[in-house]
Formats: sequence, C-alpha cells, structure tokens
Amino acid sequence: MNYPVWNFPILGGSLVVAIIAIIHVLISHLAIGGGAFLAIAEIWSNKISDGEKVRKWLHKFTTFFLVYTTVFGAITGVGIWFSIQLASPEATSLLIHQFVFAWATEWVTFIGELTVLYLYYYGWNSNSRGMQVFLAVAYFVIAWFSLFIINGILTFMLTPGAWTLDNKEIAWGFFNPGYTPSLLIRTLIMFLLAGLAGIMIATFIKDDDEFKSKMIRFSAKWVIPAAVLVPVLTVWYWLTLPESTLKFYEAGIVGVAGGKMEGITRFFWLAVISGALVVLGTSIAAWKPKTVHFSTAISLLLIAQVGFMGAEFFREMARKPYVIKGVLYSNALWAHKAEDKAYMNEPYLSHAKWAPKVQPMTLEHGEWMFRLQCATCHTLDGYRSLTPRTENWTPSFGVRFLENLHEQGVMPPFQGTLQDRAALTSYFMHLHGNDTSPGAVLDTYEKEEKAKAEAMNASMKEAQK
Amino acid sequence: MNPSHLIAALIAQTQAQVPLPSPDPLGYPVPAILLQILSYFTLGLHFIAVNFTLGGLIYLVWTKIRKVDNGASEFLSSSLPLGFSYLVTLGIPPLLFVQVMYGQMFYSSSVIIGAFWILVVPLLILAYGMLYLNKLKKDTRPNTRLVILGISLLAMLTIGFIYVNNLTLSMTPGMWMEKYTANPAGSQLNHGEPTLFARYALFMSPALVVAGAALVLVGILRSKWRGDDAGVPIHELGMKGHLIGRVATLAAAGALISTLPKEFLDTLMAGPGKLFLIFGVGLAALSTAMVVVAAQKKGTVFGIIGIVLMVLEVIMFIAVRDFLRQIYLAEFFKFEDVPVHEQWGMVGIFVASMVAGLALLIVLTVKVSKSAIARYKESHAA
Ligand code: HEC
Ligand code: HEM
Repeated sequence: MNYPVWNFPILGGSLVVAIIAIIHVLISHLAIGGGAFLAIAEIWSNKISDGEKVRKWLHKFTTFFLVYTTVFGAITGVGIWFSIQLASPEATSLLIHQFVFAWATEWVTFIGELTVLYLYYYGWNSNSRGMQVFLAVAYFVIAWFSLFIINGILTFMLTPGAWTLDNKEIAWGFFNPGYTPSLLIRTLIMFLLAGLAGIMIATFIKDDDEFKSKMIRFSAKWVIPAAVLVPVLTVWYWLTLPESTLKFYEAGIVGVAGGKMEGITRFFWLAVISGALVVLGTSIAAWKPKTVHFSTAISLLLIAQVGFMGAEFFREMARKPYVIKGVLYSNALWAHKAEDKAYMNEPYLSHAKWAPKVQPMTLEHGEWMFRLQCATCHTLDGYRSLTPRTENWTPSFGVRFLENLHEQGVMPPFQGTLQDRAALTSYFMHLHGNDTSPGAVLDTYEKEEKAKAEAMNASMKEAQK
Repeated sequence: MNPSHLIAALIAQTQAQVPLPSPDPLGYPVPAILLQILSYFTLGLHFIAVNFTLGGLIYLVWTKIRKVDNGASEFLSSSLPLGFSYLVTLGIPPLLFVQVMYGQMFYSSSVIIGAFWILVVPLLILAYGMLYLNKLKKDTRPNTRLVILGISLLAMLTIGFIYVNNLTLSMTPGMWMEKYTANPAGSQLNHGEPTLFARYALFMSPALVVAGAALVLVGILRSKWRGDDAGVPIHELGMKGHLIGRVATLAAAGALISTLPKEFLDTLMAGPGKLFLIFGVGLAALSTAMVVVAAQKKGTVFGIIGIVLMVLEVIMFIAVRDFLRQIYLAEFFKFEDVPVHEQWGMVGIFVASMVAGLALLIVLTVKVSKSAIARYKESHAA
C-alpha cells in the first residue's frame, strides 16, 4: 500500500471514475464512427445530384460533432486520467510505467485527429472538394488508430494474458486474449453511434420531408453492421473472459450483499436489451422516417448511453476484486504479496504508510483500517455503503466476516491481525450507536470461540465414548 | 535561528513520518534524461497554449468591456476554442511523463487535494464550453457575452491555481501526512505553502506576454493580407499587453525568489540551473526585442522569430523549474533510485508515428492555409 486512499464522500473514488468513463466511452466511440460517417457522406455527396444539400446538412453535423467530441469527449478523456489517479494510483502507476509510449503514440493520434478535423471544418469554404474528402478519410483512419491503441490497455486490465510483473512483455499484455473481439465490437458500435447521431441531426431538417427521409435512411444503415455482428462477437468475447468472471455471472453471486452482486448479470443484460432497443428503434425510424422527431432521436442515443453504462459496469465488476486481474487488487494489495502469509498477518497499520500514529485498539484504529483497506471500494453512506451493510454486525460475526473476506469472491483478503479485525468491527458497530470497544469485541469473540472449541471438544469426547 | 535552518530542522523532524511511496516496480521505460527532455518540450508547448488562451481571453474581455471593436475580438473569439483544445491536448504528454518520473509524489499530492483536483474536470468543460458558446452564438447581448467570457476566464484562473497547489504539494512530502490525516476526502488546498501565490502569479502573468505577441503577428498579417491598415490597432494592443505582461512577470519572478528557501536557491544557482536561467532571461529579452521590432516595422518574419524564441525561453524556464523540483525532493527521491527497464521498441514506434504524423499535419496545414489565405485576400480585396 503505497498511496493514500481518496475518501471522497458519498460517491467514493470508484463511482467518480465510473461516471466520467461512462460519458466518455459513448462520445469517444461516436468521435471515431462519426469520422467514417463524414468520409462516406462526403464521397456520397460527390456522386448524387443534390450533393450540395447534403453538404450543407453535413456542416451542421460537423458543428455538433466538433463541439461535442472536442469539448465533452476530450475533456472527459482527460477526466478519466484525473479520476483513476485518485481512485487507483497504484494501478495507474503500473499502467503508465508499462504503457507510457503506447499512450504517447496515442497522443500523436489525438493531435492528428484534432488538427485534421479543424482543417476540415475551418477550411469548409476554401478547401477543394478533393481536400475535404481526403481530410474526412484521414480523420477516420487516425481516429480509429487511437482505438487500436487504447483498446490494448483497456483489455489488458481484465485479461492480462501471458504478461506478468516479471516478464513485463508489453506485446503479450497489449495483444491479450480480449483484444481482438473487443476491438471489433467497439468498431461496429462506433458506426452504430454515428448513425444515431446522423438521425438526430437529420431531424433538424424542417421543410424538406423528402430530404429528411433520405438522410435518416442513410444514417440508419450505419446501425446494420453492429446489429448483425455484435451478437456473434459477444460470444467470442465471452469465451476470453476469466473463469471467475463467468462464475460470478452464472451464480449471480447469490448470498453476497443480499444478492447485490447479481449486478454483473443485470448489467450485462442491460447492455444487451439497450442494444436490441436501439436496433428496433432505428428500424422503425428507417421505415417511417418522416415521423422521426428530435426527441425520438435523442432517446435512441440515451438508450445507447444506458447500454454503455451496462457494459462499463460489467467490465468493472468482471475484474473484481482486482483492478488488474490477477495482479493487483482494487485496494492496492499486490496479488503476490497476498500469498505471503507473514505479511498478511502483520499488524496492518504498521506497514500502512499513510496511517497516522494511532493508539492500537481504539476507534481511530478501526477508522483507519476502514479508510485504508475498504474505502477504495466502499463509502460509509453513499456508493456501496458500509453503514447499512454492517447494520447487524455482532462482535463475533464481524471478526469472522473479516477473516473470510476473500471468500465472498468480490473482495480481497483481509490484511492484519485479530486486533485489527476487532478494531474495525468495533468501528462499524459504533456507526450504529453501539459503543462496544475494540477490546470488548475481542473479548466477546474470544469467549465465543473458546466456548465453541469446548463444545466441540465435548462433543468429540462424547462421540469417542 | 534563521528561517532556512528552521526549515531544515522541520524537515528533519518530520522525515520519520513522511509516507513516501516506493517507486513503481516496473521502473523507467527509458533513462530519466530522455523523459525529462520529452517533458520539457511538450510542457513548453502546453504552457504556450495555456498562456495564449488565457491571455487571449483577457484581451477579449478587455475589448468587450471597453467596447473597442478593432478586429482583435473577432480573431480571438474564433481562435480561443482552438487554443483551448490544444492546451488540453498538449497537456497530455507532460501528464504522462510527470507520472512516470514523479508518480510517487504526483499521485500522493493529487489525492491529498483530491476534491479540488477532480474539480478541474468540470471546470475544463465549463471554460471550454463557454468559449464555444461565445463563438457560435452570434446574437448575444453584450452583457450576457461578458458573463459567458467571465465564467470561462474565472474557470481557467481557478484551474491554474489548483495546478499550482498540486505541483507545490508534490514537491514537499513533509507536508503530506498532516494534511492527509486531517482531511482524507481531499477538500483542501496547499495552504501554508510560502511560495504558492508568487508561483501562481509567475505562471499566470506570461499570459499577456504570449497572447500579446500573437496579437502583434495577427495585426501585421491582417494589414498585409488586406493591403490596408486594418491590423494596426490589433498589433498596437498586442504590443502594449506584451510589455505590461513582461513587467508583471518580472515582478512575480522577484516575489517568487524572495519566498523560496534560500538554500534551495543557492543549490539551484550552484548547478546547471544557473545556465538555463541565464539562457532563459537572454531569450526573453531577445524575443521581446523581436516583437517590438516586428510591431514597429510590420515585419512578419520578426514576429515569427520572436514567438519561436519565446517557446525556447519557456522551455529553458521549465528546465529550471524541474531542477528546482529535484532540489526540493533531493532528500526523498532521486532518479538514480529507480531501475530502468528499457522499452526501445516502443520508443521507436512513438518516434516513427510522431515524425510521420507531424509531417502529414504540416503538409496539410500549409495546403489548407494557402487556400484559406487566398480566399481571405479575395474577399477583402477592395
Ligand atoms: C475490491 C473492492 C472491495 C474492497 C477493497 C472491499 N470490498 Fe466489501 N464489497 C465489495 C463488493 C463488490 C461487494 C458486493 C457488492 C455490494 O455489497 O454492493 C462488497 C460487499 C461487502 C459487504 C456486504 C456483504 C454482505 O453479504 O452483506 C460488506 C459488509 C463489506 N463488503 C465489507 C468490507 C470491508 C469491511 C472491507 C475492508 C476490510 C471491504 N469490504 C473491502 C468490494 C470490496
Ligand atoms: C485551463 C486549463 C489549464 C491551465 C490554466 C493550466 C495551467 C498550468 C500551470 C500553471 C501549471 C504549472 C503548475 C506549477 O508548476 O506550479 C501546469 C502544469 C501542468 N499542466 Fe496545465 N493547465 C491547464 C490544463 C491542463 C490540462 C487539461 C492538462 C492535461 C491534459 C495539463 C497538464 C499539465 C501538467 C502535466 C503539468 C505539470 C507537468 C510537470 O510538472 O512536469 N494542464 N498547468
């Protein structure tokens, strides 16, 4: 544990990351697919008689596209950086040290994307037709390369493949088992989003129903590749997932948190159903284009956003309890350290760099246990809140629960001594107005254990007789 | 006891409790010197873009308040969103490299001021969004426009302040423990840091300098392409602002020097920092001379040389800034402590893509600009 834990109230670090990421993922995919849309629309407009009209419409599309992707897309992208630094500094550090030049290369694509887009947009009235087509195509190609790169790092976190801390083989980590299916799914989804954005901009065409229908039908076609192929690719992706993820999914983690971890199952289906709704909605739009309103179009985009939310939470939960599967737990415990029994059983605060000097077996002791060991994933009263989740804790239940923390499947193993567990249990009990001290928790627990052991002994003797 | 001894004593006393993270197990992907160079260049471009955008915004607000319509506001309104976009994008590589080089310090300080650090994100959207709103909404009432621009300006100034808080805190590990334990939610700034405000002033005041030089060039080009004197008020405004900015920067630099711990300053001046400082000052003088000549003679080339020298000047000062950081951190951390696991293959891919990318962008930009300039000339030909 190298870094301080950001105890952001209510949301907690992990939900801050999730919120920013969910917004960013939709926009960034749209930013790439939209490039292909511009390119094809440019070429198409050269071939048809009312091309000038199409290009005028395209200018509207580009204005929306430019502001939306550069303001919200680029900034939420930077925002993900800010948030992961705060929520998981240790993991961010690992990713950065392993992939910094991949990211630097990705940055080249950012600069390229932006500059080309500006040349395209600001040169609207002065560039030649050939130049406009070239710029649109170049934009798409460059933008797609940014996906090509970031996809390696994103999939690495869930399926690091043959990469290990020792071999540090960047190529193995980058082109990991999840890489290809994920790249293909994302590429198709990008086209889909571009189509939805196209439909939305087409609804601004007011007094030319024919033209509006034409543009809506043109845009709707962009949804077809995803509608046909994403289901197949999802099966492939599924086959690359770690076994533990599939187990979570299948079990729906019955019993944990009152079944709350069915979350992973529910989020998966949220993504699937949203996808299906988008396809259905687009089909209806293509069938009756004149009836499509702005509100319909924006609803389709919102449903897509909900789908992304499902997919992102699925991805996040699929990794639990790790940030980097099999390598680093979400609370910055290294997997290889977790196997070192002696380390795990040391008094936790003695090697926690960021704990102040606290009196052992006090409330403060328990509070810092919570802050440093649980707060990366839990808040007290907001996201994944522990106050309600520990409502029924008794001394013995708490101490035992903590001892078996990892057996829940979604949490890392507990680090620390019996005293640490008692102090933490006492802290949670205090949150509910129960002022049992850590020492009293320990006593009760030990007495119960002793009684149990005696009872066991007694029954053993009984049986022997 | 004199203050520097006091500080030394304080540091010695708190050192036992400094929660310094150990360096990342993966080590550096290339020798630190290369990371430094990459960081200086890209951070230099970031600072130029920050200063252009912030300064441009100040000029724009000024023209709106004074209700002067000299063409500067038209240029600024349409170019500030671009400036913002590049300031963000050019911030990315130094953000990568600072994490590689100084991750232990940078992550720690970011978490300690976490609530403010994450606030940068909505502030960026606000500042940037307002610039587009200003550009795209043509029919806004003057006062509404001032509000829009004012929000953007305030947001930018706040972001800069948060940055200075984070970076100064990242250089003073002795302060961490107390701050973190008092407020683990991170809703605090680096109060108590003696250099904070002077440093902030030093980073913000070049805004007028950089944007002023840009306005000089824009004014000259405008007159030239139109074949009239339409650009004169623009380059005069830029000239004045540039000089005011220089004076303000000098004052801020003096203030910073007076707040720096003396032994740090001495160490800096005993090393290569001195050389870079002298180069920086020299380049600053030269660049301002060029800008003045450009404004006098309406010489585009002088203006361009002045701006190029200014970029080099900023890079020199960035090196000095980094040496100072190493002096602050000397007793906690040295580059030599971190192992290097080389990734030359990845560096090759990066360099190749960078060269290819830049070449393509330059060719395209020249082409597009040529047709845009031709069109501009055509539409303004009397
Ligand atoms: C890797 C992230 C992570 C860490 C670290 C973590 N938890 Fe959890 N915890 C979860 C998840 C995920 C769940 C299940 C989902 C839910 O309850 O919303 C959970 C559930 C729980 C529950 C509810 C279980 C139930 O069956 O009702 C408790 C209590 C709990 N955690 C306590 C703790 C304590 C105490 C710590 C610190 C020692 C801790 N957790 C650390 C992720 C984590
Ligand atoms: C309006 C927006 C911004 C302003 C006003 C601004 C201003 C500043 C200032 C004043 C500093 C110096 C702080 C100091 O040394 O005390 C700085 C450093 C830095 N900025 Fe920006 N910045 C802005 C946006 C960004 C963005 C969006 C990024 C990232 C994408 C970024 C990346 C950086 C980095 C990485 C450093 C420090 C690098 C180092 O120390 O090596 N900035 N910025």
